[in-house]
Amino acid sequence: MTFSRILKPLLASAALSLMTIAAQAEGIGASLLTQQHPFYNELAKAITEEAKAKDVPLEISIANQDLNKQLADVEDFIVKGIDVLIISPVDSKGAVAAIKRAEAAGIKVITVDVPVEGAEVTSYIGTDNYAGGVKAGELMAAELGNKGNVAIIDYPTVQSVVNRVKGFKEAIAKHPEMKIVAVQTGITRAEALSAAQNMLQANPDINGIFGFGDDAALAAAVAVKSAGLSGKVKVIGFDGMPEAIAAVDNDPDMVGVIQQFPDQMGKLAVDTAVKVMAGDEVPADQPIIPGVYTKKK
Amino acid sequence: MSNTNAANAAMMRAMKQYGGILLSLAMLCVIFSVVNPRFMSVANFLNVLQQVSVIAIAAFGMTWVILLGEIDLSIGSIIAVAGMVGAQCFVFGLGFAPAIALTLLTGAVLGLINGTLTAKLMLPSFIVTVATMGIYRGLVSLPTNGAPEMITDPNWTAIGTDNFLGVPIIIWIVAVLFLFNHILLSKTIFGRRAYLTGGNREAALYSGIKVDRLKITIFMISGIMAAISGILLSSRLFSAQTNAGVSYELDAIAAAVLGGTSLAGGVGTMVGTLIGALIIGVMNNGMNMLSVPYFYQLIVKGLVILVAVWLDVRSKRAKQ
Repeated sequence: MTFSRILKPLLASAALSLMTIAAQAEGIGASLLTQQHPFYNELAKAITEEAKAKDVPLEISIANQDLNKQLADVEDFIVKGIDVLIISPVDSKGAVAAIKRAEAAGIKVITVDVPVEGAEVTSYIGTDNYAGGVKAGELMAAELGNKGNVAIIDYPTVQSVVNRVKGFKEAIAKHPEMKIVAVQTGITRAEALSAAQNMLQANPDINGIFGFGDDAALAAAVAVKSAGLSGKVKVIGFDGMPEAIAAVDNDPDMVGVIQQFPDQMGKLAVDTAVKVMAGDEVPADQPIIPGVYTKKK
Repeated sequence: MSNTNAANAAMMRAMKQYGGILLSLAMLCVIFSVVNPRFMSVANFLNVLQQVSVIAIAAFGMTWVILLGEIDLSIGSIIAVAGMVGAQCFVFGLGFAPAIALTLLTGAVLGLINGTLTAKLMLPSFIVTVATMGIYRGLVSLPTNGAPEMITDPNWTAIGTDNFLGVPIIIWIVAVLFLFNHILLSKTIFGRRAYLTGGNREAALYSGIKVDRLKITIFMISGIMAAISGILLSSRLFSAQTNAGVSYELDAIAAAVLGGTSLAGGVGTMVGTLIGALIIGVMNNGMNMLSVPYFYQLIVKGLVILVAVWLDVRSKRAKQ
């Protein structure tokens, strides 16, 4: 009993003191959605590097896709006394509480990647998803010679994806000989795989599939192969993380991917935060136009 | 004189029972305050209490269930369902009071289902609540097709944001529910029956305790506590999230077990569970204050729980 009474706190303190890092009080607090996605890894890396380059103190918290954790992280930032909050919201509606709390404490808020609904922020930095969707549609039309049947794997509860799909549909609609024959939801790679298989089963005459993200597109490319349609169906993705870029280089069915630039986003977010701290005006909306990555000719 | 002696005896007993875990909590607080002076402030203390409220209340319910030697893995899903039921009440134009009533009723019914399946069909509660965890999580997604629902009712959101006598309402709610559960468990026949049944089911049956009814009631308590957690969570977030409370059942179990509740049943107190929940809250908050990278936080949390449970098991073995 005595042993346990002494040992328990000792072990706990030993574990903690191992990673005792001097805590900074002022500067930027960044609350990111997750650390288990290459997009957010890139974003976090860019934020860290730019903060180092600009010599501003930076704290990063990872919400692990849990809105309650994101709120707690932001509350802890408030207690620590940060000046600017950079936040990639877990979802566009639910992050309002965290943002309002930060703003009530006099902290300026910059949203990155996902915009927030129901609260005014100092600046929003994110991919112009609509423009990216249009680019995906134009690429699809070019790949299919302006005619054919197209399917979409979407994620209808996320506004950024809704904008992508809207841009894609509008670009396709400009081509009278092209038709969207199926739209199904596939959020994870596993769900996207079954969605793609179902669509190919129901519409064997599909010529192209647009996946709202890399996972959806990579899953679609697998479905195309397992349906024995390799070479007959062109797949286009969105995000442009290393795995999808490699697939575009090596997988004959993966013809292209719309590339987001998390590195630019992270850098711009920190630069904006520095300007805000200096009292400068910053634009309320800072869209970043995505690029198109296709096979090397 | 005898009064002081009695008080001293009670103090000694409390120290004997909770000394180790209280010392852990104190040590954590000391370490965190040394590294970041802002940790030890009233503002941060209220901060931790608010952050831990959802887990603490769910853990009160979980303590009852574990005391019986059962487990309730569905409370994370019940937390989400409760928030969504509240949000949908407002969508359908109901007022604050009926929304609260319906939400609590939902928690009671979901608990009733868990309890009835466990007690009457003689299924292990682990399996029953793994199944209902999935079922309830599916149900919560139906009204909005997986999307979150905003809650704008000023009374509902006030729960999560407003103060009463300078202390956040949420903390008052935790305090009241703690007292309620503590008294029910330690001062009533109902509580004694729960201990007896968890400690020795056969003996409980022979002494005339209606074990099935007790079990069902306790799963309903767990469901209602989870529903209250769901109300607090959705009021803090101004919205009902279909993925709210994922894996919170594990934090609730950890809080109860850290507080000395035995997974074998028959042993445990609400005081212990409250301290266990505070340790989890202080660890989360303190490691944030120290800027410990997220993945290391997970590792440290897991290690602390492992060590605490090992010590618990070890000290019990020594007593036997």
